[in-house]
Amino acid sequence: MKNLRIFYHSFLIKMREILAYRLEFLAGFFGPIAINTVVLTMLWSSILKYQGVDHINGMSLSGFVMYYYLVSVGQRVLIGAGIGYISRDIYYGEINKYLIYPLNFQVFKWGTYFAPTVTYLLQLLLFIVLHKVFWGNSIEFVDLSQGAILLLLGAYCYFLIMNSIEYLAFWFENIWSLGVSLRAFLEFAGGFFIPLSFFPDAVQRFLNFTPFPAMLYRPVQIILGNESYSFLSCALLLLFWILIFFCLDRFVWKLGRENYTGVGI
Amino acid sequence: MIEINNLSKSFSVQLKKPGILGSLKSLIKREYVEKHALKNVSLKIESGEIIGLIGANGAGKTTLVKILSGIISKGSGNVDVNGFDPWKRNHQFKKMLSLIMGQKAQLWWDLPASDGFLLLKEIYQIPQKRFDANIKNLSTRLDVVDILNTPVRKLSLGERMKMELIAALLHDPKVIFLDEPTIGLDLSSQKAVRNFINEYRKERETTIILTSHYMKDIEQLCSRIALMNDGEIIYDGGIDEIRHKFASDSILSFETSTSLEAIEKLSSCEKVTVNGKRVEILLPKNSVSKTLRSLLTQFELENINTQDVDIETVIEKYLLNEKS
Repeated sequence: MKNLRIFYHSFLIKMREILAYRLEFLAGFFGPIAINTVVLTMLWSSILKYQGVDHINGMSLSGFVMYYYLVSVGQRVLIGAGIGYISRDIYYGEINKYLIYPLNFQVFKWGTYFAPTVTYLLQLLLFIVLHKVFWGNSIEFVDLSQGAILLLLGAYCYFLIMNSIEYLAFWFENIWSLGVSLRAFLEFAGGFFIPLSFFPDAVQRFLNFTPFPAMLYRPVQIILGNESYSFLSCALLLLFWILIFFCLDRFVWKLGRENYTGVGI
Repeated sequence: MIEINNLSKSFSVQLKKPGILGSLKSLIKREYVEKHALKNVSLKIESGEIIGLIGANGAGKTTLVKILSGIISKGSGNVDVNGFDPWKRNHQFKKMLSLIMGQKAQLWWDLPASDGFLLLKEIYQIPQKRFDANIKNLSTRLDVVDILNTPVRKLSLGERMKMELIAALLHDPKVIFLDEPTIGLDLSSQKAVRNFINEYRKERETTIILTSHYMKDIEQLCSRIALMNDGEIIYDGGIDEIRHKFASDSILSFETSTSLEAIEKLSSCEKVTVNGKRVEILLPKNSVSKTLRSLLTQFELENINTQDVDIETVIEKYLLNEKS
């Protein structure tokens, strides 16, 4: 019960912080997603034009627009607080204050991570609903809900993976590039740049051994109504990965805490 | 009560030679040196006592505070804070503790302090009634009622420190670690913070461990000091005792138009400083009258004054004495 309260209040304070600067909030809320969608759609538009075809792998230009919007906003949902939300605390010694608070550190951080996740998820839901009302699309409410749930599970899974990397700052101080590499791999293996169905079978099989397609690509396919993907199997797969990374998270945290010296900070 | 017995703690600190070659070498092979931050430290602090931890940078003060608050593990030895082993990080232990680091903030930079206080209320599970009463009491006494809803980043350094004090005291801690609470503050803010801490301790009988480089903090708040040097406690006792034992010098000051060289010739002077026409001479207490008589016969002096050396000079002298 106390953990739930801590989660709720850390979420609330982060929300207040996100909303503190109007321009920054609006630019961050729409900018990166709009740019990603436009750039990647333009790329595929050129490819379609150059090839002289209307479809590639069953996807038309309007399909690409919707796909890239969904993966762009989905990626934002997953990456939540971004990179450095723990390692920066360790590097600058800000972690000291959390270590003396009577709280579960991971629950607190999950609350602050969850705030940006929720703002992007709301954008996704709002956009799809408005798009359906004004322009019409074939997205079903059930698919949208299932996709949103999977994205939330994916966000928690990504948070746990990222935590284990963030904790490495207890030993290596600066781990920014590792965080960037993880995000790059998520983007590659989650179909952020190229839909996974465009990859050779062997690559797709390999990627399915990682949690990333279930975090981003499959939820997007479920939202788009692709019946090849089941909500239940994707959710179970994510829960399995969450269990694995939860154990890893606690293990690395314990080792890191014992190693922390905070020399000079 | 806080009891520390034979506490030692060592760290590995990376060394890197300067220049690009040093940077390239450190990529391949890192050199580390073992730093003994604390060496067999023993200390006993009674409940309700306020003790000043003083010493040069790197003496081990902050390491000791971090161990006592459970932030870092102890190396060897025993530590007991009000019946708790800090490293076990029991939530009951954390609830009776507070740490104020003058160079670190616990409030949220972009939000008003009141938002940060609300979060702390949940973290420490402070009942609403007690929370309201504490906010009212602390903000009134620190004179920050009007700025509770101003974003922290828009506050002056002194105002921010006052807010940090409120944040640290909201849950009525029994043990407070104050690490440089007045660092960077102007004189009036320093005074306000010191007065507040003094009054607060007297009322609540809280145990306070204060580390500060400002001797005024130590002098005005502590009756006992623990002097640390190179990871060891080299003096533990009353502030008056150390002054009495090592303040064997006085400062004789006056105004004159005589040249500095002529005054420096007086062999008993340890140090002569000149500020315009004002001359200050550091000399042994027992030679003040003799030196003054000699000066008056030779030179024309005005506005003559004598005073004891400040505690900073006393401690400097103690440390030099220990080293030699």
